[in-house]
Order: sequence, then C-alpha cells, then structure tokens
Amino acid sequence: MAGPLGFPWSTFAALVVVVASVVLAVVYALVTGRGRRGGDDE
Amino acid sequence: MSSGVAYATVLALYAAVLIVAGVWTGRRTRSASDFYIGGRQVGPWVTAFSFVAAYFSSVVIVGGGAFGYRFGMSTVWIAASNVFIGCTLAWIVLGRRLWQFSRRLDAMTIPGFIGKRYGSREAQLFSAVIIFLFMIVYNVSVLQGMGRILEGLMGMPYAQGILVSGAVILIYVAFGGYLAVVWTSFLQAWVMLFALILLAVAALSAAGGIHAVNARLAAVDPGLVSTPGVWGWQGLVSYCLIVSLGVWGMPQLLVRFYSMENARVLRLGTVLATLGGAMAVLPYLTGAVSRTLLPALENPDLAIPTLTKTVLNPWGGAVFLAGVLAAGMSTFASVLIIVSAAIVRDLRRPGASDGTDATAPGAAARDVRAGRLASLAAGLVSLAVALRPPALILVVTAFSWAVIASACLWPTVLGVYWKRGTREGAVCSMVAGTATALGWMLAKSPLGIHGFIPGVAVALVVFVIVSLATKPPARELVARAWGES
Repeated sequence: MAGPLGFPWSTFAALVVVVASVVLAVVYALVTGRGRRGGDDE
Repeated sequence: MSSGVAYATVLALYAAVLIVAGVWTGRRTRSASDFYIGGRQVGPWVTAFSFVAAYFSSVVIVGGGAFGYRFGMSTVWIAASNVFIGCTLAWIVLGRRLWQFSRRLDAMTIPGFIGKRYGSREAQLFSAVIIFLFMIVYNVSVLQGMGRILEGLMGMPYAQGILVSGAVILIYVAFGGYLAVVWTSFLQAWVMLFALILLAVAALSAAGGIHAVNARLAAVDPGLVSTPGVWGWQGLVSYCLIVSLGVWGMPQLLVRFYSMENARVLRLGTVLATLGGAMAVLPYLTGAVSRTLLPALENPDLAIPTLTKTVLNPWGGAVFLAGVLAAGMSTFASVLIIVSAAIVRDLRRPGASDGTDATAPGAAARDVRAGRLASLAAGLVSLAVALRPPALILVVTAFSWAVIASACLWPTVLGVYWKRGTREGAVCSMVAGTATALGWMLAKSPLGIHGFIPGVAVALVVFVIVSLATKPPARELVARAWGES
C-alpha cells in the first residue's frame, strides 16, 4: 500500500532518514559553531 | 542533429574545462603540501562537494541503477546509509578529530598519520602498500565503468573510451595535484547532480509518476516495493555497511579532512556534504523506475544507459553522459593523488616525515615533480590493467574497498579516540583484517557474507585485545597527538 508522497512506507522511511541526516548536520553545525567560536581550533 | 555530434560537442567542452582547471591550479602548486592537501587552505563548498564527487563514482550511478532495477525500492535504503553513515556521521565523528590530529602530527597522508600516531614505521609501510596495491585495483574498476558507459551510449570502443577519459584525468592531475582534483571534483559534483535529476525527472514522467511506478512494480513482484523485498536482509544490510561504513577507512575521502582551512569549513562542510550526498537516492530510485519502462533487460547493468537513450533527447543524453564521466573522473583523480602520496611520501623515503625537508634548497620543486611523476605512473598502470579488465566492475570495487577498509578503518578511527591503542595493536589489526578479508573473498564469501564484514570485525577485535595486552604508548606520543602540552 502506498505511503506519503506515493512511495511505499518502507521507502518513505529511508527518505525520512535522509532528511533526518540533514537536520542532524544543521544542528551539529549550529551547536559546535556556538560552542567553539573564538576557540583555539578556529 | 545526430546524437554523436551532441555527445562529442558536450564532452569536448567538458574535457577542455577540466584541463584548463588543471593548468590554472597547477600555477598555485608549489610544494608537496600544495600537491597532496592543497596547502590546508581548502574552503567548505569545495571540500564538501569534492568529498561527495569522490565518494560516488560512475560505479554507483551505473551499478546503483542496476541494483534498483533488480531489487526495487528497498535499494533506497543504500542511499539512506550513504547519507547518514557515509556523509553525516563520517564528518561529525571523524572530521574534526582527523583535521586536528593531522595538523598536530604534521601528517599529509593516512599512512603518514598512522605511522606518527602509533610511532610505527611498520604500520605506515603496511598501510601504504595496501593503499598502493588496492587503490590501483579500485581505479581499474572506475576506468571500466567509464569505458562501458562510453561504449554503451556513444558506441566508442571500450579501449578507446578508457584511454581518452584516462588521458584527460592524467593531464589535470599531473598539472594541478590535489587542488586540481578538488576544484574539478567540485564542478563535477554539480554536473553529476544535474544529470541525475534530469534522468530521474524524465524517467518518472515517462512512467506516469511514482504511484504508477509502484503499482507496476508490485504487479511484477510485490517484493520490489517492500523492504528488504526480493533482496533479503542479509544482502541489503551487508551492502549498506560496505558502501557507508567503508568510507571511514577510505583514504581518498578521509584526506579531505586534512585539507580544511579551519573549523568553519568543517561545520558548513558537514551540512553541504550531507545535502550533496542525498543525490545518492537518485540512481537507485531511477533504476527501480526503469524496471517499469524496460521490463525485459537481460543485464541490469544496462538499465541506466538504455533508459538514457529511451527517455532523453541527444543533448540530454550527452549531459547525462558527462555526469557519469564526472563521477568516474573525480573518483579516479582522487585515488591517483592518494596512490602518488603513498609512493612519494610513505614508501619512497623511509624515515622522512611529512614535509620535514621542505626548507632544503629545491626540495619543494623536487617533491612536486616526484608527485606528478608518481601520479602519472599510477594512472598509466591503472590504464594498462583496465585494458584487460580482471572481473565485473562491482566485484572489483567491493574487493578493493573491503581490503583497504579492513586495514585502515580501526587504526584511523580508534587512533583519534582511544589513547590506549598501541603500535602492536595497530599492526596486528591491519594484518589480521587484511588477511581475513582476502581469505574470506578467496573462499568465495561463505554464508553469502561479503569479506568486508568479517575483515572489519576481526580487525576491531584484534586491535582491542592486542592493545590491551601490550605496553601503553609513550606519554609524549599521546600528548603530541592529543595536543596536551
């Protein structure tokens, strides 16, 4: 049975992992940017 | 206008751009550090997109499409693992540490890092020999992929195809070194992305949209729209791990972290590499769509070339061909630099540390000349072997990745996270991992498990046990690597 956007549910879950990876990368960049700004490894 | 004229025009323009980029960057290459790691001055966009271009070779586009054709929608999980483990986690877990360690230890190569981190010339030599041998094997598979796609789309004889594409790459790598590789890879990543989107949109449109594709695939076999579907968990999980976790031990990708200018490159690069890596979804998805348009293909490897001819006009086909060649060329060029570095920096001068003689008169020019000659030699050997290819493309690729990752993954990952890791642990892990991966594959992969998995598992166990059983590394060695003064 088709899931969201016409993809099978299991394929849609794989696409969610791709989007979640992008979100994780953005959060990582924001958090480390705030914590390290002016640090000794800049 | 005939498709031959369109292909020839687009490819001639494309080759000219690459050669100009090589000559331009060659003017900025004055030292070994410039030739191998771009003088540690590369920014986030170029670092991230050249990482993605080196990661996804023509093998992924043609072979990934073939997997999508054969196994259906479940193969999108391979792309998900590429993005999550191979891009996002690799940058987060390894990026900052490898960048910091390579600077503190003044290392330009992965064997150079391993040798200095563990204080072991044996570990440096062993990893350099493995990289030298199996990276050339990997390059042969990349050349095969380019030769086959030129043969399939343009009707160019296989040998002529690999000689033409190989010659263009050799020119720009020998002139420009790492800077030429990363700048051309940056351009090539965009060409790949555009080409993959073009083919995916045309294929989905021709098939009547994703709903129609799913309905037709389910009618052929319900396993084509479920996970793990017709492939099974064993095959799907094995392949996901090889092409994603394997990245953590592949020198042509890890060296991108050495060349970063500062920590800002790492932060923005993590986001950009993840976004760029998402293009991996397209070949698998397009391969699955092609099953509905070309249901009677005898060889799934022909799915993407045949689909291109079916759904794109000659100019679109020429752009797609440029995208596939871009994927192959960027990987081939990245590997050439790594092999050249293994010869010149790690094998040729025993006892020499990276860059220690940079102040000697004429040393910088000599180093660059040696790098150019070594990359030319490695490229010519790869071309010679590829003229009589030893096996199927994907078999050769998986073979070389399995051996290199089994040797290099844990000494690299644990080398930046575990202070207790010792030189004996590193050397035994590399030897045991390599022997296990090779032995497993020579025994024709018992239980249907690829040699990568037992190779990496044995290498981890041996590294930990031998390290704990031997004397801890010298305090000065650990202090230098971890920046503890």
